[in-house]
Amino acid sequence: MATPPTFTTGSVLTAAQMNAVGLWKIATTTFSASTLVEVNNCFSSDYDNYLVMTSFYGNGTGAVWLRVKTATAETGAVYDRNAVYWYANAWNAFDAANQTYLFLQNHVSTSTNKSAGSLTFYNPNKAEQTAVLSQFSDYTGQFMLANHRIETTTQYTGIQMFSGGYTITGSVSVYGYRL
Amino acid sequence: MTKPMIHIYDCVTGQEIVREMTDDEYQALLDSGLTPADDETTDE
Repeated sequence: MATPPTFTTGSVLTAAQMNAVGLWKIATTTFSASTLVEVNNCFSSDYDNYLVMTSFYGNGTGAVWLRVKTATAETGAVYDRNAVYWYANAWNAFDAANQTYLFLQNHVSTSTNKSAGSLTFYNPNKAEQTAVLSQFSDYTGQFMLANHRIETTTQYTGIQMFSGGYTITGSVSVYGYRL
Repeated sequence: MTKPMIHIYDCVTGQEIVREMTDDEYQALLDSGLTPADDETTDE
């Protein structure tokens, strides 16, 4: 019997094998010239922890923020951030408390120089605080490592990304981690 | 002036919606404090 991830042509996968898959792609969506991007129902009781990967550029140089939401609305969650930002050949402290959003990343307007990010959400669908560890490569010369803490204990089911002043084009993917 | 566009994807149904944001939706975002002035990094 083949052991994942090595499969052979025509092999039949068992439930045990599929249940052993550790990282499961829940969704990918691509967007174009958008101001607001929402991914709904990506967080559920199926998984405790999630990986969100972003890749996009804008029609100008700007920033993008992220908020968690429920099925129907953004919830007014409270976000704290401890971060360092590499800029101008130096690390810069980039902390902030009691924010109404999670700073996601900057972007430029070059399609071949996309802003890239990965965020790990811990327990977003549980009635407890959500920790988000993230790293972002905005573009050449800019890089951020961050610990975000969502103080509010709502059971979130989705995310929204909002671009300030510019539209963004790219993709966002959500994966679930099996314990 | 072109209205801001919203892209919505539902992971359960696979439904994808792309449409113009309503004035109320866009105003709600602006009212929440998310404006271009919030670019608080050292980006230039």
